[in-house]
Amino acid sequence: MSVQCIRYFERVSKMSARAVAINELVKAYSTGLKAIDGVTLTVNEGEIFGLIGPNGAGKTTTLRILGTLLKPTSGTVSVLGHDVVEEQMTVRGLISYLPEDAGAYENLSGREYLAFMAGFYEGDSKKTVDIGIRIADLKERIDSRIKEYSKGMKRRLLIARALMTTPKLAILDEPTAGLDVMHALYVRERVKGLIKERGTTAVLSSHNLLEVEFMCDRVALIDHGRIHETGTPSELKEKYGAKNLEEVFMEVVKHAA
Amino acid sequence: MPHELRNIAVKELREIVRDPRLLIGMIIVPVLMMPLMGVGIRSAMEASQTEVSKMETGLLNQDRTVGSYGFSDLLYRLMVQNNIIIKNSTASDVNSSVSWAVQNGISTLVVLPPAFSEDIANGTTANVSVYQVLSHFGFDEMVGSQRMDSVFILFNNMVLHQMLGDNYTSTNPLQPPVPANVVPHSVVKGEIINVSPSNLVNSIFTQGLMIPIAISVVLVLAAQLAATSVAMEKEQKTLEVLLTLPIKRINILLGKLSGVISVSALATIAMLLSYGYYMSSFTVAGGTQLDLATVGLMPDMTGYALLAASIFLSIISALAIAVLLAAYTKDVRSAQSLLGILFLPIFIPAFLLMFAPVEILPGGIQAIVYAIPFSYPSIASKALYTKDYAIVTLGIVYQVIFTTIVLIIAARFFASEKIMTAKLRWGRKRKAETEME
Repeated sequence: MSVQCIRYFERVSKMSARAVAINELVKAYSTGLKAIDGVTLTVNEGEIFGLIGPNGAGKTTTLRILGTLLKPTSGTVSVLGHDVVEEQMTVRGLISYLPEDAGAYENLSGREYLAFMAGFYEGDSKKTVDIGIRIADLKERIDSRIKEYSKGMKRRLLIARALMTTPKLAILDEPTAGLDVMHALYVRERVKGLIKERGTTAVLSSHNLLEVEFMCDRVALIDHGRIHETGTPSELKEKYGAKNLEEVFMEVVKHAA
Repeated sequence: MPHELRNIAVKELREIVRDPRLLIGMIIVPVLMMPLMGVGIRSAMEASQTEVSKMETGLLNQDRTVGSYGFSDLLYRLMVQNNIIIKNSTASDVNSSVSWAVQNGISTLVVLPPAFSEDIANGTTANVSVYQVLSHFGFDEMVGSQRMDSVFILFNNMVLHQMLGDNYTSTNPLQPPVPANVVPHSVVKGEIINVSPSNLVNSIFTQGLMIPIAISVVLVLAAQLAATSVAMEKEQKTLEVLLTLPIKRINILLGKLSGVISVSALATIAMLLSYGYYMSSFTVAGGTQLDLATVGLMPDMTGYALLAASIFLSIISALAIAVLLAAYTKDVRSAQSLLGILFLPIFIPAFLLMFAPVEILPGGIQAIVYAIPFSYPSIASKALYTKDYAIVTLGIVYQVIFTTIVLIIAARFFASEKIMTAKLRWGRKRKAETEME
């Protein structure tokens, strides 16, 4: 085997190990405001990657670009080697996106909602729905109308929807926002367990840094559309001599300002 | 006012006033709608008056005694005094004169019978036939025969005065003689119908009145359904999830439209069925309304098919526009209010065309009416009686083109990120708003 061939396979294997590759990403709106200003980061396969930052830092915009909802102004973004602009449909088949504060169709039952969503994916949709029902774990309430669900129950259903299809990349925007301790704990543990168990990659955003520390293998601190730090929680804590990610966050934001 | 109540009331006012989308539906649209309709109807009336001043009245004078008693001369003079432009028929009999009138664009034909002057002189009522040519069954078309009615009232008064002056004695003093009696006829597509034009026009107006109103209601309900559906998806962020699924965006749009179209199609069928029942209620004998079936003016299947096609295309256009408008809002309340913009092109042509046929409108307003795709169901409903299907068919072709363009715009909108980021901006301050988080 020639040296070129070995290098090619090395490159391909390196690329395939990257679930997400974001390079010099810029997102500017017609008003001229830059929501993302030159973000570069990679997320490895099987990793849970956390984006943390204050409100308006650019977290949701980054996740929306990953979810093919928004287009980059410049730079490139790929999911498992597929460009999010050029290969939108392929990327959509690989991802599962959960927006912050997302709702569901209120007049459907939980089961009907899962069946509706499963219908867009190939494979045995009944089996997919069964997986979803197990993840949601709403017992007999799975057959109740969604409008009768509490916020926590809705979130469990939506998490189940996002993970039942075993996506290659789960994009979760504030997965536990607004939930009580019990539901937040359930969602956190369920998401982490399922992702690790199935080898799914996840990119999530959160304001809850304890949650990020618990769930994420690596994190990026984003502010004003720029990445200021990337690393494992322990690396970052060590670098800043901090006891937890909250202290790291405060230090980074202070320096960035 | 208690402090708490005032506090809440002020907050509510601020919220409403500071959301211009709400103001559009609640203030701007009603403020625009009535004056625009007023302008339209006034223009129609002015156009109608202009048409009336140009109207020519044909005269077939079969009076054998012209010159001997002078009654037909008197009638002629009265017509001239009342600014009626008279054209003498070149034909010799009634049927040929009616054809001559139709061919020469003469709206009214007056036929004086052979014994016109003789009958009047003998104290016998002379029956004068007045034929009114009807093309679009508008109220303006009755003016010709109404003017002749006025002329004959004058004529009868003058003749009676002359007779009384001549010491004329009636056999029944309590019931003075009527020198000339007008027998009205209508002419539709060259055929003589022995029904007065006012009866015919009023019957068609009454029986056709419900169609434009019902169509407008169906269109508005369908548009509201579509707008609410999109706005609710945006408000609850279910649209955000849908847009990341491995399905083509056009299918999301068409799927949403299909659901509403199914409901709207049911509404249209229900409306046409109830209209059929409504029409059949006029065929009951003994009523004051004319049974149009007896005079051969009942709508046929072609008319109904064209009307259904026109309504269907209008619904799709309205839905696509409603979806686009709703995409610019963040919640259901704003979407419903912004949708008010769509009410203007739906209601104005419907009301305008109820009272004034498109043919008599001034050029500019006519162009606007023809440019609005929602005008065509009203035009098609009128064509049920006029059987003038050419303009309806052309309208349907236009509607297909318009609907296709709107659907393409909506599909492109759905395929782009604008579906996520679009919002109406008001003033410089709000231009700074972004989706940044």
